[in-house]
Amino acid sequence: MNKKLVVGVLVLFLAVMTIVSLWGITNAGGRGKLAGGSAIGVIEINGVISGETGGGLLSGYSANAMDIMESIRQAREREDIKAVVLRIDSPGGSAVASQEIALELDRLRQEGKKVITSMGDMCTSGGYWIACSSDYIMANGATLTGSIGVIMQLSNLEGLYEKLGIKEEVIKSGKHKDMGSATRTLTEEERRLLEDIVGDSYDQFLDQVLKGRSGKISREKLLEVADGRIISGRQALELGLVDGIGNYYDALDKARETAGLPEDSPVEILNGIDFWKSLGLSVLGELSEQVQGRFIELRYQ
Amino acid sequence: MSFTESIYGVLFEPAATLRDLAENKPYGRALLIFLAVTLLSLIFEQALMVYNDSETLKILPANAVWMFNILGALLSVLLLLVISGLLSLISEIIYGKFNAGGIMVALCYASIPGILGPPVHYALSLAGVEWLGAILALLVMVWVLVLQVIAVRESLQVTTGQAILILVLPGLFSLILLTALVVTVLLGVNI
Repeated sequence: MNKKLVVGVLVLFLAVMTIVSLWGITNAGGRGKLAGGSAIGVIEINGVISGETGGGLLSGYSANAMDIMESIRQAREREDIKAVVLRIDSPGGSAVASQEIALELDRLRQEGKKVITSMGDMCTSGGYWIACSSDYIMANGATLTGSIGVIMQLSNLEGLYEKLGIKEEVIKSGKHKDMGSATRTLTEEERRLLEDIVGDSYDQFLDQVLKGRSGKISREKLLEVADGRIISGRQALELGLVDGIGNYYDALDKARETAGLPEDSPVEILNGIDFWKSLGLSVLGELSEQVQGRFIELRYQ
Repeated sequence: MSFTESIYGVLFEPAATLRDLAENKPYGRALLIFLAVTLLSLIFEQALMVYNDSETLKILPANAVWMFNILGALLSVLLLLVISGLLSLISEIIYGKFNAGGIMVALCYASIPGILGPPVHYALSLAGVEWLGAILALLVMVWVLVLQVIAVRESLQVTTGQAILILVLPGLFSLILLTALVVTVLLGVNI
């Protein structure tokens, strides 16, 4: 037997199978797999909602807005996906990222696709903002939800810099250009400006809840609890902030019911495994960003 | 011995090939082959997990799965070095024969058929005969085990029985240690 032929066939087989395997892994979500049928798409939102792009080894527990929006778009484009269950287990996070996701969900619903939210352990603040862009919210009795409010946290390292002998020289085009700088205390005027921003974002949050929970909670009643407090799923049901108590499977059943799907309709996780991102090539970039920090960021948490 | 000849030899004439490799010790090529086998197996195994809709992928964060896999691959190289040294040491103590480098090279080459199990399993799963794939993957594992015995035998120039004993002893020793530890814990003896 020709040795080169045997080894060649072996190498060829391995090469073909490597390509097939990589294709299988990369398309783990099964894009288009159920074309022609009817399915429920599940989009998981786990961890702090972030707008930062790129997911590395350290991003296992953060919810990247870009990835989530991509999954929502996929659900919108795919004809076989008739309803989407959002599984949220998040304390909130970036205000902008939450808004972006909610906006994509609104567009999905405008296409006539039903969105059901299933709350996990926690669905607070930015997580609740997103939940308000669904047709039905199902919480567990002990789920922590609410925390309707906005927070902006600034670090004042003036004292530390003084001890280290670091003095920052600032050249700026306007008096507020270094507003929120970590090297000095906020002026009264700056504080007022930032309070206005927080207040405006808070109003947007209230509008989002009132829009999403229209007819289920009044503005007056909402204002009573929209002070940043967290509440249980059961309390949220009494207040009208959620629609029902139940677990993930109840949410799937609800999705089938609202979309008119049969009981055995398949379920597909739309934002499952991302093979290439999970190789973690962007770890250093993420670490660098975390070390540098960002001094001003609005957060729903 | 060329690359083609060594691959062909390990598959069809293992004894002579592994003896030759253990003598000449092409370390670089051997480690490269071992790494290729490990990494490719990793991809095939991952594809199988995805195909089977494995619960592991749902429980662990996606990134953690790959982090564990890559760490596992790196550890397997480290383990190969440790095992080679350990087997050579055992052989030296019992039979007065040692060849850690040769064992390492031979074990690297002995892992080659292991690359066939996962892709065959995956291909047959895709073809709808997963049970056949599982059986063939099991047979490949047995094949690799047999090759490991031959690798140790040819590297140390011992008999098949002696090679099996050398290979089994570390596991046996670990088992005895583990049993002793469990018994100690169960009896509540302070150590």
